[in-house]
Amino acid sequence: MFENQDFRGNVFDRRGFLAHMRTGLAGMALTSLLSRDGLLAGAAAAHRPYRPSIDPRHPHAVRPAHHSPQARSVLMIFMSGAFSHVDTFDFKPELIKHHGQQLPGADQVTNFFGSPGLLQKPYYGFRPRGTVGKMVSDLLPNLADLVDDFCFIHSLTAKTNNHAPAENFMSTGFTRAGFPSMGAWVNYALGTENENLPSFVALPDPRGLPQSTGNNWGAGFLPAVFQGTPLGATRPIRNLLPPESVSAQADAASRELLEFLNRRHGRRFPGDSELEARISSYQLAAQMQLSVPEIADLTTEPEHILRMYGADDATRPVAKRDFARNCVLARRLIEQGVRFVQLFNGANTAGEGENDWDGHTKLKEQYDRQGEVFDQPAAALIRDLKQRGLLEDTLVVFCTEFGRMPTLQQTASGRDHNPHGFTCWLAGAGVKAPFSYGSTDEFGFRATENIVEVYDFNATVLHLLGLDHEKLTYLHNGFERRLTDVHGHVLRDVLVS
Amino acid sequence: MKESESKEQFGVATLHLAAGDCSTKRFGHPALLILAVAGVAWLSPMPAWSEDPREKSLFETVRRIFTSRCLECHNESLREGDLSLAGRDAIRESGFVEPGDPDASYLLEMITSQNGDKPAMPKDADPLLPAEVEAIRAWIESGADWPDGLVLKPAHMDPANLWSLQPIARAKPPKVPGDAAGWIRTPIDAFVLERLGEHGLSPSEQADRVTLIRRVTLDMLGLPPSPEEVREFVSDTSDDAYERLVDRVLASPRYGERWATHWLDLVRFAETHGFEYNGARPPAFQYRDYVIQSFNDNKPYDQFVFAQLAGDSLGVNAATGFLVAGPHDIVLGATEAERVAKRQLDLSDMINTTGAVFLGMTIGCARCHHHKFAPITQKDYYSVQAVFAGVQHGVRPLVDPQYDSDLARQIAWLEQEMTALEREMRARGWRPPVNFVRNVEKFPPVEVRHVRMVIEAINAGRAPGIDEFEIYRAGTHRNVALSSAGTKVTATSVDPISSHEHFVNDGAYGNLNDWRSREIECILTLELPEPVEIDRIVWSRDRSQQSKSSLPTEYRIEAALEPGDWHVVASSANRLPFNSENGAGEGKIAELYDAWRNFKQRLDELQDTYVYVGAFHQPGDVHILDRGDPSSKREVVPPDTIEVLGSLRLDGHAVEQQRRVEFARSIVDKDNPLTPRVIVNRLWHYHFGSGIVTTLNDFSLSAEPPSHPKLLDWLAGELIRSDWSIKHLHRQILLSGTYRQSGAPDARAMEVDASSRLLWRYPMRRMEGEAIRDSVLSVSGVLDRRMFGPGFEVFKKYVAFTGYEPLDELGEDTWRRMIYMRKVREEQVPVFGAFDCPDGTRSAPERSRSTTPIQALNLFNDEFIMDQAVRLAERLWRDAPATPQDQVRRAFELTYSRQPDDEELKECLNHTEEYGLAALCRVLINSNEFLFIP
Repeated sequence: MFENQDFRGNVFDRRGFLAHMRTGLAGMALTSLLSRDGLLAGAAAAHRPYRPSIDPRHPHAVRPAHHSPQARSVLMIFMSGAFSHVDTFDFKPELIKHHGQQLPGADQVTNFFGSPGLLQKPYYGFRPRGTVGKMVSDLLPNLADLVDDFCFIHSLTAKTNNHAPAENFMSTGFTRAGFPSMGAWVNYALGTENENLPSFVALPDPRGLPQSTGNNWGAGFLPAVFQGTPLGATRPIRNLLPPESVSAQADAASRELLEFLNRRHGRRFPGDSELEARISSYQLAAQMQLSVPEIADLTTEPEHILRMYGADDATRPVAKRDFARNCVLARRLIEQGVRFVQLFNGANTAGEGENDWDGHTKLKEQYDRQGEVFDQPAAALIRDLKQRGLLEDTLVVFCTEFGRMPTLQQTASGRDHNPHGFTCWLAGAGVKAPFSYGSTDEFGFRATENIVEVYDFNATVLHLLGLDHEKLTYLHNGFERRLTDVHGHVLRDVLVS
Repeated sequence: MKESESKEQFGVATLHLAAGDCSTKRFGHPALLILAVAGVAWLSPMPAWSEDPREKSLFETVRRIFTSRCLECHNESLREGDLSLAGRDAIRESGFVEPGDPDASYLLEMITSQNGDKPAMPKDADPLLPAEVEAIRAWIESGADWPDGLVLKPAHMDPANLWSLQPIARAKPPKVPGDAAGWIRTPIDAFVLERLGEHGLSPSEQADRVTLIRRVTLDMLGLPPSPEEVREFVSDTSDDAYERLVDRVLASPRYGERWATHWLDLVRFAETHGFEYNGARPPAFQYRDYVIQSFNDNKPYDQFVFAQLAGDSLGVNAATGFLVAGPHDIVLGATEAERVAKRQLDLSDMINTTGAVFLGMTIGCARCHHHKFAPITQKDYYSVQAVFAGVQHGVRPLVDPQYDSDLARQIAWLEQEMTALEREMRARGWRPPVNFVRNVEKFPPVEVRHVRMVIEAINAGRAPGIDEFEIYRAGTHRNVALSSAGTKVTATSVDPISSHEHFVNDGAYGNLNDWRSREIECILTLELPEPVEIDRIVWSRDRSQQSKSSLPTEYRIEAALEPGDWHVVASSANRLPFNSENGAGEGKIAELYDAWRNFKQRLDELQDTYVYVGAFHQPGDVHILDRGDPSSKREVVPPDTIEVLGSLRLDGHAVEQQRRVEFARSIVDKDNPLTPRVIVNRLWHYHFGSGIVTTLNDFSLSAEPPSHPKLLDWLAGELIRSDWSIKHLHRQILLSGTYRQSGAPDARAMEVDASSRLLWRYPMRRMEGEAIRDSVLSVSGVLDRRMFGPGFEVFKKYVAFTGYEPLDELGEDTWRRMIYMRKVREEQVPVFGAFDCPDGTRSAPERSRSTTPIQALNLFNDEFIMDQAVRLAERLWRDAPATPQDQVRRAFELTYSRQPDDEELKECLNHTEEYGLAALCRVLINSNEFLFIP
């Protein structure tokens, strides 16, 4: 119990940490002296959260999971702009049959841009794929070939139909900004196996940021050390390297002088871990200066691998080549033991649907282009993970904000937002595949069978990492905060064991 | 404690949430459900209260067990698993108890071990003791007696059980034996010493003078002392040298800038809206300036609090920026349900922040069910919601002529002059052109029920917009167009992204509260509740003066008594053309127009500084929402404060401002123990790095109890005795022996209290990002000390959706203190943001103090730091031109407030010789001694 009490307030209570590690009893004694109130004991016993003990000098040190994990790391593929399930993974013969008719009960429905138009059959043909003959459309032919590795969840629902709140919801479990992202929670819980690299990396689409920008990889109220580091094959870490005016020799000498002064100062405060942590942060920074450019340098990849992704110089359009490079980078990061990689496809930089999946007005034309950018690189990434054996302990999470309507938007050739039912999929460590879970109604409008909330989805991801979503908490402003708020149930049916 | 987001309304998702949630799903025992349903039908009625003394004491035992172990989840409000154990009826309906037959009572099954497993209940807690189970069994066996009408509350709902709600004790400083060497300097020390003694600890000796002046200056001003100040203090041998130092820092204008930073963290202040269109707000910095000025003026804390909740009642309009300092989604959504849900979130932000900041009470917990750790009911939450229900995100004029007679006189004079000119213009057949902020249409009185504005052209942009449309009853100042008066509005076209037709008659001004069409040609129609004689219409495009487009320039206003019976009452036909920048042509009319425009401009300057301090209008009924769900309305509640603070005695029709005035009074009422306890604890936290209560925004039962309860009460009492003087509290703390002790560690004391919470030494800590930046600018000699006004930018111009890109170069205009950096919500400032700066999304009572390689990379490599290192080097050349030794010594004086020792001097000289002075400066800026409050 003392682990909760001891870390009330600042998780980086460094001196407290030391006491905890050396003389846990002393910490406990003080705690019990301080908590005089018998009522508190009852309250605390009922809510026995797990809070990781964090060594401030090594905040990313590996920490044990709650239970034996299936996945060591996570690759999240985030489709920004809201990916249409009815044109891709959620096959609905009735929708084709009733093309051009009214959606039953349409007058009861109000979408983001007003009342819906007529039912619109998928813009792409479907055909059976893989050993089980899973129906997938022709939009993403390379990915479609991999359906035997996928565990589809066809019955997701979102709490909002606005982009930014929905991105927040998927990434943080809350529609408002300012809550820790899933990657930050995982980072906080588990640390990393490679301290020379950031343990949580976000790879925004080279065309720009997703709509809720850094909230997707923010630390919220968790210590900043757990936030995601945005990176990219075309986007270096800010201030990773000294300005050109500083020679390598001068830089190294300055670092030495800094350590000399810090150590001398530290002599007056022996055992102060906060001071020590700052000294080691400069050492880690120096390590990162070496390891980050190294991992971002794709010239060491064989030509055939680059071609497989579409990351070679010859690939066009440029948006595809650059996204493919992020995919290669994602694999390299996973390979190097990075705990959580969040790979984005889509950026709302040129108007709705132009560079993302927000196909309101001319869906076919825009999805043709987005599919070209996304399909080959993403499929290659999964193939590559698999052929290297990385899929065995990596969980791939394909997700988006919400789905799209089976109907046309009034006076347009596209689909409006649909939070009532949409598709995501999991692949890799610990999940059943090929497998499909849950379903929407005959038109793909509302989830009807095994309805899944984002809370459940996120609880399942944590579970596969060995984390209990109800125990992974952080006390903030009097609230025992969780990724899953007060909701969420692990989707046992999609797990191998 | 958990706060859940409300259930927004999306068909399946909603049904699913409403049906599922924590109750049946988590508790999903099929047998239990069957039992619960069947139970109602066949359970025999529970007997009435017996007078048998044995049973009475049995009941008392059961009552104690229920209250302390079960009711937290199974009470009248929460009913986890559809079970409440609070009253006889509830228990009877649940079917869990079969009076007289324990073995048939499901309750016993739940609390007894089955097949060796841990009992199902209490969930996630230790099982009941065998004796407790037996008592419940005996109670059921004896007929499950229950006194008539008794409904139990969980222990935490009884205010008597919560320490923070007890009256502030008259704490006398204890007489402590063994005050070695007169360590005690203020009453604070006696309390601290007493607690140290209880743990066998003793305080540290006084810190050296250099440490003291650095500590006090960095802590109070967020800037290092100048070498001259250090010299003067160190060589001052008079008894009151330290006291004078304290008085000097308290009088410095830098103090308000430093402590306003803490306050702005608390109130989640930022100058953009947040969410996906994270665009700039209308000017909001006036609130920041108000906070700085208030700290510098030592404004009594009760007045400071009052003004932020209801400053408009005193003419202190800038202060109410507090209410709307938080995030606001300008995307309203197309459905009513979504708009309502978003409004609930805005209100929840105001309620949570108010409760947490002033009271240390997480009122937000009670949005869906009664609070689990404090006596705050769901009714409390919605009563407070009714207090704030009239507060909208938006703008108001910064100054109010009602509180400024000079201003009122000037306005009256200008208006009189303009009216005269307008009369002359009108005599020649013309009226002034339309403008963005106020267009008056006067006409002979006419009885109407319907009014519409038919728009045909705009000045620029995509389609027209209007933020407010006012219709005046003839000869009065009564606006009959307001929705609160029953007027209904429709429009032929509405842009759902950020507007709504209802905003034209909601009484709130500005771009955020406007109607925008998607078509240029459109019609806005208002239907009054009954026929009224009117003579004037006033409409505006955007009174917050943000818009430069979408202004209707060609339009006509029509009225009708019966539908369809339209006749024109005013139109743009006789207005001077809008685009008449060069005047209105020739002759007398041009002269008149120029004169009019001159007056108009002066009038705008006088009264049209609209700032982001909230828009107020009279709210409608506020209902309790079942489980926070806006579609599940329960009874109406009048505006009120939380019950533990008494009652405001207002009815549901109370005037909007009066609600906030009365509520604010209850917050600063002398009998409310929370407000003073919460603020003195915060002051303590900022001075010592952690609070006497470590959960600064949470004084409920889930908070850790105070480490020094008597001290907390003494400080709270001292605040009230000093008429809420914050500076008096600072002084008491700064002058204490506790504050003046050394920060050096002691191995033995570390074993007992490693985090120094008992204050056997002064806990050293890293400065915040703001103090680091300000200190760098200060030592390099370029800090721009101009106070107040619009902030400087470190990001490029905002472009929707792409986020904020940092500026490539930061020029002299960015050398002001960081509190004057325009605060972008949800965005990390380059370099310094990595040092745990809050992002303005919610109240941040403390900052985590993380240490990351990303911080190191930024502080070591960023161009801004490099540039400042060069400027510091230049300063060293100027200040100490003679020798490299002198320059290194000066560098140490400036950054560390001391001289280097021989070895440091040698190493630094070597480095300087090889790589130049700027390289040394870069190192010093990055070093621990510079970055820590010692």
